[in-house]
Amino acid sequence: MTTLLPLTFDSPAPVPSQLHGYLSANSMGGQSVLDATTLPQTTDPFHGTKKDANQAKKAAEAAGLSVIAESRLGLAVVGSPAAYEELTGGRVVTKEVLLYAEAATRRYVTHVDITGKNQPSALGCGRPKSSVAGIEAVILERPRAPQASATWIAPPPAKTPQGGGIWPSPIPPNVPGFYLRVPQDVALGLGAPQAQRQGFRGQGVRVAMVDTGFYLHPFFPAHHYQIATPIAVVPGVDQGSDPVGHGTGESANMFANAPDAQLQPIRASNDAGELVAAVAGFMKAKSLAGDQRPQIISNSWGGDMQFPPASNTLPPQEVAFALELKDAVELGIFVVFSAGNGQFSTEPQVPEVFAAGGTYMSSNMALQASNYASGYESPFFPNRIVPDACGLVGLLPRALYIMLPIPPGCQLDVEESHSDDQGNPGDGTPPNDGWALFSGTSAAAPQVAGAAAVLLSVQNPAKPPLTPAQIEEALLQTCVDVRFGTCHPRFNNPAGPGQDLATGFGLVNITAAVEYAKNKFPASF
Amino acid sequence: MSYAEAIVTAASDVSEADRAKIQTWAEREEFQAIPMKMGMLITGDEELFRKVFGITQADLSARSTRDVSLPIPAEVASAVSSITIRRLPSIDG
Repeated sequence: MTTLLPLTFDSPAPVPSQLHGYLSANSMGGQSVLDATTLPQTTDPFHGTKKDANQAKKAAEAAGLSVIAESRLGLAVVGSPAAYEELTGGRVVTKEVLLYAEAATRRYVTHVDITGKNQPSALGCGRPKSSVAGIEAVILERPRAPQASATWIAPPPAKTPQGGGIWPSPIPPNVPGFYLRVPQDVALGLGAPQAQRQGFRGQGVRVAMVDTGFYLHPFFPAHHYQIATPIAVVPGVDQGSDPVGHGTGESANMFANAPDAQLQPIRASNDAGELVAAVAGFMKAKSLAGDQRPQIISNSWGGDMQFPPASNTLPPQEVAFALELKDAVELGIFVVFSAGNGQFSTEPQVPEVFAAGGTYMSSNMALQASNYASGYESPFFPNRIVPDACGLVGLLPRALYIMLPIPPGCQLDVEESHSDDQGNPGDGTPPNDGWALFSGTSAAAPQVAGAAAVLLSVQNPAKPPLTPAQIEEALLQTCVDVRFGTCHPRFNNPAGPGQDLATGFGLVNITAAVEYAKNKFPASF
Repeated sequence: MSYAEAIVTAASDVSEADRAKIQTWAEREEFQAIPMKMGMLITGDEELFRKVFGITQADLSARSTRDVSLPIPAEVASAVSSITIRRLPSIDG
């Protein structure tokens, strides 16, 4: 059967710490439940002998499982994933399965499976190790929806399409006015399509994003994007959720440019969505090692200080964190921060960090500085201009510019759908549809991160990797110059020919950057 | 769970022994301590911060609008120049 969306795929969701399961005792009739295709006249052939039942119980408990109930057929058990792995010799993993849920709509639901050599292909089923006596099958509980409830995870819209459908939709809604869609319009504006057609799509590159969290919106599997298991820094929060929707939406900006990169979401927010662990989140991203090591860390957040500052020296806590950013770059990680939406923050001013500002592209692709984005000369670091260069960002008053996938009913879904307190209209989407129009330099940072991932995917893996400084040079030297408009009124700097305080070097152009890097840094290709 | 993080900046002429002293103090107070180039990041429950630094919830809540300086415990005073909860960052839209 062909489907528009993958029916199942390896999930980024973590394996729960406790799993309910069922152990089938050896069947007296000789046929294992794993091989049965229908029900017999009576259950007798599948009963276990007393000896097998006793052995099954002993084996379960020896592996670390607790027996909840027993029958003539088997045992209901609960325990850690490690206990099931001990019993089977396999590996417990999560998989997403497209299921009909409530109100005749489909959604991805996380399942648990046992994989490995000699393990059956049936989802959720495992075979015990040969040394385990009395048990013929291990079956993990699958998620079951309460059939009469419409609140399994989150309610779908009242009107569901005839014939069902997936919810939230992987396809962005249509609303009046001009706006950009992901991935195509964002990729087009940043010059990515030609590089992508040449096969440079961020493959083999890991991008960590420190943000409010990540929700597995159907938009992501529909595009076959790769997402690693999210990491939560604040103890006790759900690592697979995003109360604000910001991290989820911004991820789509990265994938627009680098569809084959792997995203490592790092949730630095508490349950209220506040970024209470931003420094720890960055430190976590920087410390990941081995296969988890990111080549790029994207950050769409920042603080704010008085501008111009009372003195040109940074307070010690700012120096301490700035040193960590610089150190990450020295370790070979390309670090990008948003320049700010009128904010004046330390992070993008650190000279080794790539500061991503804003350029607005109109419906006929005319470019101007975004008046939503910060732009200034740093008073702390000589000759440091923020931004370095730009991604695509909307305009004041609300920068409703890029239609992005978010968790249905999250803070952004609700806020963006309504008029703001100045009476500026909302984005035209419902408050619970899983899509919202928003942007800011938050969008620019992951767009630049995606551009950097494309550059890293061009190079020859057997050759020395491009350094962060080389990536930055390639991106800056090939920007499309932006000559019109002014940045945020707080700074009020105009764009003009060449490097300027509003847009830096201009709008990033990925295909041109690829060509530049190939010619300028042949040792890496 | 209410969570907070603070940057402990080491004194400029801090020795390795002083760094170890900061780490020992942080761990004994049951903070999670993450070494930084210029000191240490300490993280933990808000209640722990209130208890160890003798501050109020209002002091902690002020981090939504400004940096919050914490008193330096006498035990590490010679090794530490400041302890600060940074103003909560805003998402850049």
